[in-house]
Amino acid sequence: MTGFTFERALKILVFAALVLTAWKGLGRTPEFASHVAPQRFFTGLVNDAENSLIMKERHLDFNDASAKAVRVRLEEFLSQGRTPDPSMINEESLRRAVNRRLAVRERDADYVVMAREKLERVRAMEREGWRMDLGVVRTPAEPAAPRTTGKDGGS
Amino acid sequence: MIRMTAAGLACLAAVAAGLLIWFGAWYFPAWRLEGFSRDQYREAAVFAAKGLAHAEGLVFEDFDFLKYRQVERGSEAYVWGSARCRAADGGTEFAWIYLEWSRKRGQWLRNYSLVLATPDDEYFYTKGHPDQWGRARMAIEKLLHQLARNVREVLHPVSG
Repeated sequence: MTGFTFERALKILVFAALVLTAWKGLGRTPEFASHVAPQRFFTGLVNDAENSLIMKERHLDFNDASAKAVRVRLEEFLSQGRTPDPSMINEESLRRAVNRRLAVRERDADYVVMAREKLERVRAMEREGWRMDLGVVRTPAEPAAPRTTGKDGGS
Repeated sequence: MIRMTAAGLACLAAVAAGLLIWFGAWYFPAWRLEGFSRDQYREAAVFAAKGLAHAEGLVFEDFDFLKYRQVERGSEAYVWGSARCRAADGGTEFAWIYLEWSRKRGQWLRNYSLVLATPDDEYFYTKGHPDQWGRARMAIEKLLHQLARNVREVLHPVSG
């Protein structure tokens, strides 16, 4: 032992960094945060859900605005008597494009619904004072197989 | 000598990249939006739309729709909308305008904004055309076009 060497200082620094990382990480676990700082925990969750709901609504609006821009462009071309070359756009390709577009819009609209559901779920958790369960999670024991006597046993 | 030249070129490239990042991520988003408070989102959006339209050679007419959203917990606020513009040949163009409120800087910042349904829009891609390289090239050209438009907007600001 030759006192305070460079290696020892380095080791202490690394150890301190490890402790800090572990502490910061612990603060982010729902087990810790929901019990120790529930206010901050739920504020973060609600803020996150609110922002993603706004984002999904914006994405939906962007695609709708794009679709409208395309439609207006097409209408202006048609009013000038300009029609697409049937080798590029025909009934088959148009039908496919419309179906694909409708499917994408349906998905984006569903994302908005899901984001709203998530926000409501988070708010309900806060109202009910939800805390992360600290007990050891056990898978429930498999119930004894019902003796099937009738013709419609089981589920 | 060669080593000095290489180092000089590397420095120049680093400075150029830094300038681009500074302009695109710090300077331009905030440019001339300092005067608008959080409640003046409509005025801020109209100002941003006029500037973008002018830099694209269009004339801003009105917003097709404009939405303001803010969170209840936290400081984030957003405004977005579709601006109807008139092209020089009389055609209608729509521009997507999107601003975010920055609590840190205390002002509105320009975000993803562009003219909708341009000929290089993905909407007009078909399965085989353009090919992968063509798509990459178009994406890069689109980004450069937006950068050039932002520089134009700052260099030749809309009058009035």
